[in-house]
Amino acid sequence: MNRKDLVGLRDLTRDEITEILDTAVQMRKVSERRVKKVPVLRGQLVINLFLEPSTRTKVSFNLAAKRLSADTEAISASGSSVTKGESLLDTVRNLEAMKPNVLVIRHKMAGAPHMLAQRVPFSVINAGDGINEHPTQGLLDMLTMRDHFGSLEGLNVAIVGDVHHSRVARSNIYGLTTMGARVMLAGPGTLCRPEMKALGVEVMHRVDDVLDEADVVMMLRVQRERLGLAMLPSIDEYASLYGLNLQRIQKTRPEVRFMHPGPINRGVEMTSEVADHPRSVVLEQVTNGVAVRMALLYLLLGGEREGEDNALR
Amino acid sequence: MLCVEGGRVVCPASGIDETADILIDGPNIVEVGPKLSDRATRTVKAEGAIVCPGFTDLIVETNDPGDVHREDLVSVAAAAAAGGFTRILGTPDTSPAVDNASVASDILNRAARIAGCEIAVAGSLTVGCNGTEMAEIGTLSDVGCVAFSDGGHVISDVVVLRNALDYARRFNRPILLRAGQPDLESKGSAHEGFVAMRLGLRGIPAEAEEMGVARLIALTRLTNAKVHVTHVTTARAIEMLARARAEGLSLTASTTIHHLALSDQAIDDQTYDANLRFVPPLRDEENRQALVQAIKHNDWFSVATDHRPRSLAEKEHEFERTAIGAIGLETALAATLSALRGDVNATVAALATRPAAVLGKDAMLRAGSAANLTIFDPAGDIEFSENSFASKSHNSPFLGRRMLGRVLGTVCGGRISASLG
Repeated sequence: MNRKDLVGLRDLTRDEITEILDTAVQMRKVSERRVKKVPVLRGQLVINLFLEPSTRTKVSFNLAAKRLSADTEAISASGSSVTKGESLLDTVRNLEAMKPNVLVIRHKMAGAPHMLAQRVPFSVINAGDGINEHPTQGLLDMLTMRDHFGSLEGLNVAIVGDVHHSRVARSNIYGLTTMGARVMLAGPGTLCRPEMKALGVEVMHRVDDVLDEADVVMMLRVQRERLGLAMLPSIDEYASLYGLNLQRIQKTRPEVRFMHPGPINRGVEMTSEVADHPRSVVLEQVTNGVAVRMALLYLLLGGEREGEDNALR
Repeated sequence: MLCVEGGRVVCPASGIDETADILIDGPNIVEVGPKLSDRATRTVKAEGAIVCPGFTDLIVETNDPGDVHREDLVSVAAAAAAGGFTRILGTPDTSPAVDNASVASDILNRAARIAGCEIAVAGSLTVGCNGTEMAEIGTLSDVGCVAFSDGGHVISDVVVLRNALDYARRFNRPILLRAGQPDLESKGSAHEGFVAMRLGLRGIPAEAEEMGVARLIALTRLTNAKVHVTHVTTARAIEMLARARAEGLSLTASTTIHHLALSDQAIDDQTYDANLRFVPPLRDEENRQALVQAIKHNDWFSVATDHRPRSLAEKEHEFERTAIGAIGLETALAATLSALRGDVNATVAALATRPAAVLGKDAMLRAGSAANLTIFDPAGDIEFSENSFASKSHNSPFLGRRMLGRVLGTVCGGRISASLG
């Protein structure tokens, strides 16, 4: 992969995505060993700058770096000089002075990683920028789907819920359409707008319209903040119209898989029976998250070095 | 006497478009015609150049008083002259605002001592441009304010706006008002459409402008005011304004150089360039084309720069957080010429004739008029770099670009600019 940064899946090619997924499969093996570590990034510094709340993504990136033997530093919003009014660029320039190799950034504004990537010499990985993209989530979701269905080409993927404000949905849409999958969106009119068709997807308003054709049903988290903005009348109504429950999933195909980026609002997007269903792969998504992030760090920091391919075996 | 010799004289107000000399005595034009240089003691050669009425800009943030690190009266006058402007109207949202006689007088007194460009002052409609309390419009008019506005802030309290328009009528100054709908604008940073959706930016719909224009039209009708609607960026707004004018309402309107020259497609999805953040946002290509057509066909529609100097520290931020706006005085000619595909007559009408008319000023080149001229080479190329700007700030989306439309100099009140020797 010939890039300095990963800011989104929007302009990644089919080959690049395939390379990352294939490398992630190799990385997964490292995580299955007793000694879950390889020295490929020893002495390199990964800084995690999370200016928006996160648990799983933050831990996942941290773990990925450590399994590759890199050093890590984590900075969160509350602990940072951002609270003292320091601009993002100044914060990052100060970090640059400490010579990191890669900055993983989560930020509440779209384009923040892009703005930084142009201005710093080290690699920038987008861990979520506002409602724009969450590329590593898209990649781990695609890996999970590929694991179960062999290929993404022609796969029917339904993404359900607050699509409009979901960076997870967006990255998945970009990645999946590049890989030739068929993407269907379903959600309330305020959160799932017809304009999204311009991205090459189908837009429906009823979840039942997508269930019988989907190989994969990905449920997005209902963000309760949306209620405050008068976009949804109530959580209960959302759950009854869109939530997956045992009765609703009777319409799905026998080989269907259920996914969720987490954290799950049990009883809203899915009932516990569906979250814990044999066809639910939410925990595999988490495992794949670490593998994909390891793959990305490896590929961006020039992992093709002498002797290191051996270390991966 | 001064003679500007051999230029292509373009004056939309009088319909002239021909090679001619212009003879100037003191602050006035004495004659426009062939072979006048013999009568002059000093000649400026303008062969190959366009000679037109001096450009007037209706929306310029001088930032003086208050934010003089961005710009001050001296630097803004220099930037204006470099851009071919012989007259600019400063917005009232300085710090403190032009809502009382002392601030207005201070600015006017200092401006009077600056040569090269006339700096006119707009008074604010409301105290502090806060949209709640009417300013002393009468006193401000007496002291020398030639127009009123709230500097691009939309007065959302309709009763306040109505009262201000009713009250201001007697002072017979144009009122410049931006057509917007603040509630729909507060969360977005780009035009609500395909580009914003693709880039993950929250959008500001065109309908926000439509609602704002509808409101201004209704209030103009109600109060019989003379209103100039600023920052028009959509086809629909133009249609509505045309219909309202046909009804007899006293309405004119303008767009900005950036909305005329750029669409939201300019926002690159790999850079999210902060210099492309505007309010209203850059619209889609279809709307932009409508603006171009509107300039070509409507003599009530002009172009302003909405010159908004901002320091690097204020611009180098995430797109949704960056300071809004760009400088425009020095890029106006090239941007407008480019948007109008080299149409010199339309460019001169848009930048000179029509904005001057809003202020009730005569921008006709003929015996007896004020000697305010712009001399430019429409085919001359110009590269915009940080070092090339006379403005203190460099926040322009055209930074680094090479464009066509080079200002050679101006004549302001009969005095030639330094660039003409």
